[in-house]
Amino acid sequence: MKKKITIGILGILSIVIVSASFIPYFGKITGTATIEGPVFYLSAPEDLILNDNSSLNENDFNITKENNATFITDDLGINKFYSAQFNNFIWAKKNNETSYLKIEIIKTNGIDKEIVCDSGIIIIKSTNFQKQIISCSSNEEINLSSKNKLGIKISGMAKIRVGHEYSAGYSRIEVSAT
Amino acid sequence: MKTKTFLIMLGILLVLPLIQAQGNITNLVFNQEIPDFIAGETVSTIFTFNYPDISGIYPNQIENALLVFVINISSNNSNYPVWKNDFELNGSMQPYNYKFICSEDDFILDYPFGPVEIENIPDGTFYCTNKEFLEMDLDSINEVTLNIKSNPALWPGEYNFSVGFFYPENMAEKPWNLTIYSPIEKIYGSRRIKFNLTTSKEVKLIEYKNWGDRQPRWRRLCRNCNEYGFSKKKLKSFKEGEHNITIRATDSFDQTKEENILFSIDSKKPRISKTLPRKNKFTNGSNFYIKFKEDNLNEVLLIINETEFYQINTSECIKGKRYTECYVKLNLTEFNGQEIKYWFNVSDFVRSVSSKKTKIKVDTTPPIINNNITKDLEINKRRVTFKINVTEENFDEIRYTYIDNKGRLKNRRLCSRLKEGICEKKRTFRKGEYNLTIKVLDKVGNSDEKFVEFKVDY
Repeated sequence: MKKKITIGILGILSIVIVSASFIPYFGKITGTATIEGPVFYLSAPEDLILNDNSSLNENDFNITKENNATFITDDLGINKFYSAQFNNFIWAKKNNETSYLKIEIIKTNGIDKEIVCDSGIIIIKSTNFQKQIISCSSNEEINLSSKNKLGIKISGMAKIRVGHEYSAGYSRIEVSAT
Repeated sequence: MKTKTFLIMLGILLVLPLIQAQGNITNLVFNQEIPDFIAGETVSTIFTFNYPDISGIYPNQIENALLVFVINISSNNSNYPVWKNDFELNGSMQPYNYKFICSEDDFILDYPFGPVEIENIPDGTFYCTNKEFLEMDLDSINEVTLNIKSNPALWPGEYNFSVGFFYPENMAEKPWNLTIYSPIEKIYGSRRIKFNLTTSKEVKLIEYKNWGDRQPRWRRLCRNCNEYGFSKKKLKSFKEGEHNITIRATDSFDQTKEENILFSIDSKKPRISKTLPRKNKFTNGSNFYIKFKEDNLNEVLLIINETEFYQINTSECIKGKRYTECYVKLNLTEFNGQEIKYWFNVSDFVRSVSSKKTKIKVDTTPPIINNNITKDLEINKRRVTFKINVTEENFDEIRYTYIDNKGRLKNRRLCSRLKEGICEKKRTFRKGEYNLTIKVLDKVGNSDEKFVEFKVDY
């Protein structure tokens, strides 16, 4: 009887070895997704927040000949950007007269700054903040060193509002490829 | 005997479900589409898979399964491929709440059955493991949440995601390699190159790239195979010259093995168009000559009587646009008076070509003028009789040269035959003083010469 049990155990063990070398099925699935360019939100005091509009600080900035505003990102951890179009949506107004705003997309290491592209727009006299769309294009790849950040400098003569949600969204920069 | 068989089968049936630590993944699906998202933000997608045991039964729990997820991300725009650091991935799995860490870089999985080295991970591919425990308990339905974050500067467009699984213990058991028997690093004499290579397991793809092509690209050799040209002869055509190729095998886990091979092709054999001296002619060793065509010359040999081999210094040869010519001097004194056979042998790095074996006679002894010619001259008015006593077995001719009274060089033959070793000839000269050089030549070009002065005063 012991002999029979031994034979049975040996039979089982031989199957363990076979099972261990069994080649399993290799499963695979696929899917696709469309990735769009990033959005930078303008926020007080002078920040550019990547993609996240959940905790923006609202403020109005009175842009004059003497005062301009520059909003800067955190370190993005990237070393270059594709040739990009910057669509800048800025909520602005000028109460008494028609005026203008100029924007410059810049890269800066905190000391020096380099203009990536710039553009301007006429601000029609209005007592309410109006959405202004000011676009500019880098026309080439944007190389960034490890310390470089992106920013937007707004100058001219108008009042702008950041961090406030209108039905048409916040003051922001939408980036797309050219 | 029947009892023994029955016991063995019973043992198998009872224990099989218990010992089965791995099974087949089935119903592997995304629970939701991968959402479109904005570069720089993190999105999550969920997929599930069923994990029955080997017999297809779904037990509540399978313990200690070893799985690695392979996530591959590729762009639909070939100008903007996915590079390392374009994405960050991590995830978790329910119901046992395992956390996954995903790596784009080479790493080692230190399993109890031995380490599994994950290397040569292509850009856009992540290996995700439960690094904390390595072994995982699986349920009949397992839900994986995959968190995907992209670089904010990622090119906007459509991206493909694939998720695969493998069992690392199989890799540990089956390390594999690529062995290339041909081509090897050498110079081939044919443009048709034999390909002969094997892999130690069946791989998804074997391909090669010729870096010398105007636009190098991977060319498929075979799919789902473990050899190419091993069981059946396979040839590939290449151009003349040097080649640098890479052969790469990729297994179903996208693990690659590759080898680089440098080889050259010289399919044109050397062509000899002319040699000298011609058959039955004479030589003193100084008039050997060969004209040949070969772009990749290795060496030129001159062989005498199948016993003497002279390597020609080819740097002294004259290289023309199409042909190379070599003039060769040898010391053949030891063969003087003998008939010899000679031929040339021209080699490139693949083969040798020989010229015809040619019989020639060797004469290294110059002729000798035995008498005083001036003393033996007879001058009768304007007629001068020359008498020259010569010793030469292979006599060719006697010539004389002088400068006439108008300053012109005159070169005349005096004798082309000897009578018992003597040349006796009359020549007429105008009035004047003469300084003649008399030269005796044999058939090789060996010579002896004497100077003769006389005056014609009539």
